[in-house]
Amino acid sequence: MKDDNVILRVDDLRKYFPIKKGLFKRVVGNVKAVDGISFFVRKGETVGVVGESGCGKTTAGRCIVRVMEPTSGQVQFRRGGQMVDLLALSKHEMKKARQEIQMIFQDPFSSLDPRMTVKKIIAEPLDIHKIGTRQEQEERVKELMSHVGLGAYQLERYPHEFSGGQRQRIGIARALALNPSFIVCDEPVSALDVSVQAQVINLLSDLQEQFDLTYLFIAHDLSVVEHVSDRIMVMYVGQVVEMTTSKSLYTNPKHPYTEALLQAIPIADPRSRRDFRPLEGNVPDPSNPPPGCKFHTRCPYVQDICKREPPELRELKGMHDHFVACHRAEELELQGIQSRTAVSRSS
Amino acid sequence: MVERDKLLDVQGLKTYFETDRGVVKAVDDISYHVKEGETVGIVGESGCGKSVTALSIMNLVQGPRGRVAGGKIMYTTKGGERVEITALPPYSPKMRAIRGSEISMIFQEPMTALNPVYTIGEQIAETVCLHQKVSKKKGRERAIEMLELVGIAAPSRRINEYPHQLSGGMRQRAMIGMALSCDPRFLIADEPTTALDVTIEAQILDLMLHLQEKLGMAMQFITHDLGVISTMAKRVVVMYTGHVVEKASVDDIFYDPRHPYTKGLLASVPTLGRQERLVPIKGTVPNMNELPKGCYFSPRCQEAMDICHQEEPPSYQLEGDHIVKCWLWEQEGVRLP
Amino acid sequence: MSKRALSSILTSIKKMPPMIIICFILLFAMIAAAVFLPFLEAIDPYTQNLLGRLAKPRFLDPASKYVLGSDPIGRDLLSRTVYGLACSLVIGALGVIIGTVLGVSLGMLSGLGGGILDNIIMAVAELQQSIPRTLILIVVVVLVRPSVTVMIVVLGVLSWNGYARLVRGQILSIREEEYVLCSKALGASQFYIAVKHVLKNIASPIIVLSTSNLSSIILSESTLSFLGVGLQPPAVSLGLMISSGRDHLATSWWLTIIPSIVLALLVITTSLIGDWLRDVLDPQLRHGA
Repeated sequence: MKDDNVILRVDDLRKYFPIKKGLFKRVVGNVKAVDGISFFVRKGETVGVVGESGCGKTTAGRCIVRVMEPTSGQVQFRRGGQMVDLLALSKHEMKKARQEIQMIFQDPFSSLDPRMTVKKIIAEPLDIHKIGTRQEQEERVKELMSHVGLGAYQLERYPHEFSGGQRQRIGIARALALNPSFIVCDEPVSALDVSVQAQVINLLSDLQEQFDLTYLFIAHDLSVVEHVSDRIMVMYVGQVVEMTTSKSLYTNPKHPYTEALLQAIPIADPRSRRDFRPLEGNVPDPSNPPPGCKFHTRCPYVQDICKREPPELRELKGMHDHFVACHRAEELELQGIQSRTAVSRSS
Repeated sequence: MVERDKLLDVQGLKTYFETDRGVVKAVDDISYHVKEGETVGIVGESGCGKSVTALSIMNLVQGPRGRVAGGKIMYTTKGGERVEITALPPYSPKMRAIRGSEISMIFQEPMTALNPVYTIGEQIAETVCLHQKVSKKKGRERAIEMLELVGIAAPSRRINEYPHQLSGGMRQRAMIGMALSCDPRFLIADEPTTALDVTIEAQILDLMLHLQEKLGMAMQFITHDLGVISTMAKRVVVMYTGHVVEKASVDDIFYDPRHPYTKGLLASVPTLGRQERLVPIKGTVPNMNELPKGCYFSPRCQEAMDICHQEEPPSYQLEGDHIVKCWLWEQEGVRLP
Repeated sequence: MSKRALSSILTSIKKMPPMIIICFILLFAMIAAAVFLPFLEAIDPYTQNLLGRLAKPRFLDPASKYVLGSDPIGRDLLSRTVYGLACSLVIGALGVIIGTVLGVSLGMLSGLGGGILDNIIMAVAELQQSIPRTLILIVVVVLVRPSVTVMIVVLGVLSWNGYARLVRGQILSIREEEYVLCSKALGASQFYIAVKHVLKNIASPIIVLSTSNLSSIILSESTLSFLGVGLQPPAVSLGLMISSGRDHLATSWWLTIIPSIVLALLVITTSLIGDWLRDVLDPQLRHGA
């Protein structure tokens, strides 16, 4: 791994939400939403983050762009050839750094201020960073709108006049306004209709090529993530359980949770097989996670060591770029997606 | 086809809503049927009318704004009587008897469908007592039995819990238990797993398949998720802006789709293991107040011809039981009335 | 504001329902009367004319010297009503301004600042809420001799908590909106967010609350004056007039009824206009969602 290719390196990031009780708001515990995650992102690639609700993926994304202050950890970001820790930056320096890191939000309805026109929404980043005159800003807004496939005649409209897909385009245009190099996409298509999802996915990949963008793509839908990502990180209760290239993740999963996800996902093919027993039970409460491996309560391959010792995220021997946090990663023979498409479409 | 094995028969149903901007034809002349014990999937995007269809079957389209404007829904009861649901007043004793003990429904968000101030047990027992006129004690026993059936551990303790004390998956199980408590023969599931996580979704889908096998009820499974539909349904009805655009067996829909919308939908879903570029359908679902002329799909259709922009296409019967509402099949298909 | 927004507001003004047009005409007529009539020398609310006591209004007695009749000591009822109206309007308008400024700033302080400040402000609001407003007013006017200024300040200040709660609640909910998060991700400061997103989104509920408060302050003043603990004679106020006319209700009913009608009209028009404003100020309702 060549270091000068890395644009973002997250190191032991943690975000705890204190649980307060009583009249004096005494802290009685912590919801460990993100509990020590480490990973890196290379320039120009898309790293997908998947996991079920409450796994901390959204919180992690928000901590990285610092809309939320993490409890501890480092977020190293490449600026002008140097890695800087975003979390150590002053307010003023952070504001400058924000020009390069942007975010696209899930809900195309609440992420746009209902009382602002499209022009104002897309120009907001320019306005905040005091870039250009009114005239120049308007020109830039028109240019951005054409990049995302909106017409300049829609400039003075309000968000509610647009469909979900178009609103997501507005959000993307706003994120592009400052020419960022890195964008955190937080569930950008999960609120959209099926036929519109594909439009937005394609738009994001076209823009990536056109503007040399790097994405951190957070979603709960494994097929969407798999489709857009070069590498995928699987999270479970605030921790990374597996991270590898997307091909290797779906053909050769090394963590039992990843296997369960691959087997659980409904495939749009009536001849696909589904003979795997779904995982039992629920995701544990992140304020009171089980000891040892957090997945051991639901893991079909659990052994004593799993209940005692939390596994470290480690790179598997002989497998480049394949990181797993499981004691039994080497010995288990887990099933990839190929087991489900055994009966192929070619009939 | 023998009329008798059609448990539910929807014939030319039209459900309209009056709005400030005119009449919205949420469901506009749709026909399909469900046979005893089978699962029919209804798939479509937001605003296609799939949920309104369900409400029409339950006879719960509320006046004064909504009404069934045409067509009829026939239902065959346990006793073999054919009832025209659309002709019954919504709150007549006969309709109320059908709802719950003949036809039951589960919803997307169990949190809003369950009453937060009653325990799970009270709610199930109430449904049972209402329909089967049994004692409270019997109702309670039945509630425990149902929770056990839907795979909730320690049911005798769980029936005393309130909806908010259960996890999302548990609530959905409880709602399924409630829906099945009076042995319905027909279950309508309206996006029952959309709000759930993948692993929990798999549990619920498994449970529903298992229960259907055990209890033998018919299902109408409404969803926007093609993956879910291919797992659950034997036959599929594809809806778009209040119309049924295609009807066929699940295999035909996925391997031999005939309507450009169905084809487009399939091409726009990412499938695990295939990373090629998606082919989206252009444009967006039209606003129900401003529907285009001719075929409602024509502005987004890659294969649209002149006539598509002028006239609404009729439905054509193709080989087998494949029905498609598209002008492209004028030559090959048999035009249906 | 963009041209398009302006033009859409203009369209909704054009589409104004007839009821609201009538309300606006009435309100403007009342304001105009209150502003201009006192300049006419012909009428003076204080001049007594014992010979012209309890004169009937012209619509009952066409020969009457007084358009709306006169009171028991021969003062012109028309000019008194106009003065009373002016008094109500001044107290109402200034009271609303004081209440809005105080309430909105405390609400913003509470919502944006949070912490102990938030707790204290909300505790005071809670406390005030639990004591009947009329009781507080009576205690205050017993301690301080009530004048127009005192009424304005007291009624204005006492209405702060409605605004403060509204603003705080709105801030707390707007703060959770993704567009605010997004603004933060873009590097916006707290101040920028407060002005560009929060203020803009809370402006219309504040305007709506202000119009409803306008009528409630006007009513409060009249109630106090009617009870005899508000403005004192010889000051002119609608409440005082209604109160003093009461003794002659059987014989000279117009002394009570005319100021009452004026008061009712004032309260109804402002409330209706407030309701209408709420709809117009919302871009979603404006375009007919």
